[in-house]
Amino acid sequence: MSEAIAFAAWWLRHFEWFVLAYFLVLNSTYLVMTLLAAVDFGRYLRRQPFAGHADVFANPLTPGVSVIVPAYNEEVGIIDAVRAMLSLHFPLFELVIVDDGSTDETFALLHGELDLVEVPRRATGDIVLLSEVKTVHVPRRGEPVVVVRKTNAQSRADALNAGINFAQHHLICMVDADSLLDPEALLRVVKPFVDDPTRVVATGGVVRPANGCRVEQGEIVEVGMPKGWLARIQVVEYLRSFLLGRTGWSSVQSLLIISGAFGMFRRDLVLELGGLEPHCLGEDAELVARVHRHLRDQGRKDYRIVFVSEPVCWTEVPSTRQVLARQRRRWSRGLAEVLWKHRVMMFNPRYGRIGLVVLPYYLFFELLGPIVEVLGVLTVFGLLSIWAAGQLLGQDAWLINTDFAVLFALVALGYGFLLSLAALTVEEFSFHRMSSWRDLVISFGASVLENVGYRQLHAWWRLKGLWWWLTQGDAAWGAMPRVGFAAPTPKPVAVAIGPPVPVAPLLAEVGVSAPVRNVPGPDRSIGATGTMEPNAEG
Amino acid sequence: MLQLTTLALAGVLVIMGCAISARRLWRASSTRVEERRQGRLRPLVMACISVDEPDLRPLERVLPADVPTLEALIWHLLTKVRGAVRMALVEWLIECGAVERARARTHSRDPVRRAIAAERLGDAGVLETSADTTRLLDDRYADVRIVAARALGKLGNGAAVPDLLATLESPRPVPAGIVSMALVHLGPVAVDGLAHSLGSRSAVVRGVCADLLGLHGALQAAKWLSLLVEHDPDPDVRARSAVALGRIGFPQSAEVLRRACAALPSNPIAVRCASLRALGRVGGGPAVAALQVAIDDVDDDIGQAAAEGLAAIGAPGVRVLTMVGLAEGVGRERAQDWLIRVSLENDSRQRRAARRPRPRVVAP
Repeated sequence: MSEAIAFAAWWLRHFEWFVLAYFLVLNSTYLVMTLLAAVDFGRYLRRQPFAGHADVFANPLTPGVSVIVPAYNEEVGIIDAVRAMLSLHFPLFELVIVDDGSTDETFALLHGELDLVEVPRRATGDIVLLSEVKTVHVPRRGEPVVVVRKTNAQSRADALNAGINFAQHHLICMVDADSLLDPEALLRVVKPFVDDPTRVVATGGVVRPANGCRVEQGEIVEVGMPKGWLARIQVVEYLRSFLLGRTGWSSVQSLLIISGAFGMFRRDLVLELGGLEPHCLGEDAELVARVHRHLRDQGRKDYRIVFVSEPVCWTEVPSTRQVLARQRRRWSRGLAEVLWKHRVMMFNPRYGRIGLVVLPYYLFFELLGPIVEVLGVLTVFGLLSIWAAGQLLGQDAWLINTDFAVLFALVALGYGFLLSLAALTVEEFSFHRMSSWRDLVISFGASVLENVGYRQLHAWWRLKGLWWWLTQGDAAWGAMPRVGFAAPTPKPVAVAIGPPVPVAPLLAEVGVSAPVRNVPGPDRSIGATGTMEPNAEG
Repeated sequence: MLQLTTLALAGVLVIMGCAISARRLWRASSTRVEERRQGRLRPLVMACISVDEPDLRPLERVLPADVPTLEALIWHLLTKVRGAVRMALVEWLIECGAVERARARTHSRDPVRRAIAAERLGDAGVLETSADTTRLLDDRYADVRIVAARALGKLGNGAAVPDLLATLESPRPVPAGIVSMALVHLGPVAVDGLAHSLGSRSAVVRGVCADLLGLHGALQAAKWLSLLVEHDPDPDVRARSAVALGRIGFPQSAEVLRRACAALPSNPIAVRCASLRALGRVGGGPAVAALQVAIDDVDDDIGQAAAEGLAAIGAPGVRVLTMVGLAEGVGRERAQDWLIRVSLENDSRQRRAARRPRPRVVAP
């Protein structure tokens, strides 16, 4: 018995060296990304005095943007979101809202707010959808909005594809219905397309937690820390991993993930690719992977996918453990689906840095890494148990190597805390969105908790996501209860919807009888010229 | 070794914490100082320029420590004012040597300084500085080239057109969107240079020139654009020339556009679509007839473009849309869709007009 325990202790000690090496490499990668991001921010901020955003706004050749917003049961915040998006500072854009079979008052609220009228509009895109488009509506007053109603296919990607089919501008921007964009967000994510139109094919914007921020009229007016520690930890996590991590990858032309909450693509390219993958939970990352693959297969190496760090999309992050766990399981499963689908790119020099560095990184550290982390935690407990047993039984050979334990704590926890603090430092020297000292102190505390407790729990959730994918469980998004952004305001009154709002009187003015209901047209794709068309065509 | 590592880590953490705190304190302090300076200088500057004849002589009494802030304030104001006020500010900048310093900084080793210098020279609009800015069109750094192109546009020197167009195909290029914006900023002085460059060997240059001539409404270039629509070897240039003709709205170009939208093998879909939309802007009987034929095209893009063109023409186009909307052809839905758009647009226009306050008529 004691021999077996001694053997187990020997094996566990050696395994811990492997876990130590894993944490060392992983945290060092984060550190490299943080340093690259810091350099990139420095360059970016020094260039702001002559960035020329006003010129982008005034330029008659700035491409138009179709902002695609999939909405499923978003009655809590849809009107605020629409009002905010219609106030975005950009010369030419439209809002394409896809009501994805909502069972609540989402459409009724839109109908009342925008005074919608049904139109027999055909889709100009040819992406195949899982479910049918029922009707298309536009506001009577002339706001640049199109509301597409479709039956729910349990796929956010399918809703986005429907929106892309009805979009009319050269660029599409996919935004979540519960997100708030900074007023100049579109200007800033469009700028890379204006500055480098032949090479830039996609841009992504940073996403920050809106929990705890003060919102007025659909705009974040004051950044604050949320009340709950779970959300506070996510603020630090988003800073480190989304802002710094993605900026770092983008600076070496190796960006794999553009957040589904805020990403912009060339519409002709997305149509060429057949739209987003409707059966994939990680449809945003899958699209970017497919862009890389498609362009590389065509022999193009000079394309660029840019992460723009300044414009911010604010979104509500989960504030309860159950919802957060569900979200992270879903992300992990989505990542597994993407890596599996594009496994041919893995270690393949044909795909450059994406194939040789980025995908292997995501495989070993983001997807399989939780296995190591969870086993590492179990190993620690195992060794502690063996040590305790050894104390009771007087077995000196089962002593813990305290030097190693200290080293392990330094690499796994201390190094992690250093990275979180580095993220706060870079944020303070660059965008400094946290104005109060209190919020700064809270962030320090959240940085500690992120590495002690939260990280281990996160690894467990990601492991469950991986298991979920391996066992091919049912892929569904699940519900995230929304609380909305603004202070409580009177709930907009939903307009009772009867038969479609009469278009006949409109057409009667010009002598046309009752309209034909919108039916899917023949599959057509727009002839792409490959150039940026003027935003006011002849 | 372990103790050393622990100490090093603890040290780094403490340093970072101190750095964050120090940065925050420094920012708060410098913001306060700057706000105080701005609070002193801004009213002074505003008082100097808010008169019929701006006079900046009082600014000579500003303290030397405040001069950099004053200069930055005036550079900033330069982009927001026009006329006599702007001229007064530019003269002040010239007299205090700020423009010369900006010219000197175009030779700086730091690309950010070069770019800021180019931006300022463009804002100042002093024609004598064109050469300094033009030189930066060939800078190693793309940021600097982009700013230089923008600055040349603001300088308003028509002679810069060939230099700007040359950057489109240069080994150190400037993006077409930036060049186009600069050419828009140049205004009518650019038209001759653009028309001349329609004969360039580069399809990119011809395309940009077509776009810009359309935006400038250059009637004198309509003849050349018509030739490009029919004969240019590049379909993209043909399409953009058609768009330009639509913007110019030259009625005599209807025949060329009509030929370009015909269903012939020599007319790619993009050219046909652009020509149909342009016909909608040009108008006239032949335009309506051509659009009426195209709205029933089996290709959805062609049909939509024709419907859009008919909607743009006005009453004759609406009559055709109505006819097609009642008939059983392929174009029925397209016509109905655009009729609704026209109707909604009219409705919206009437509502806006109704909301406008009516002028009071005062009895004599």
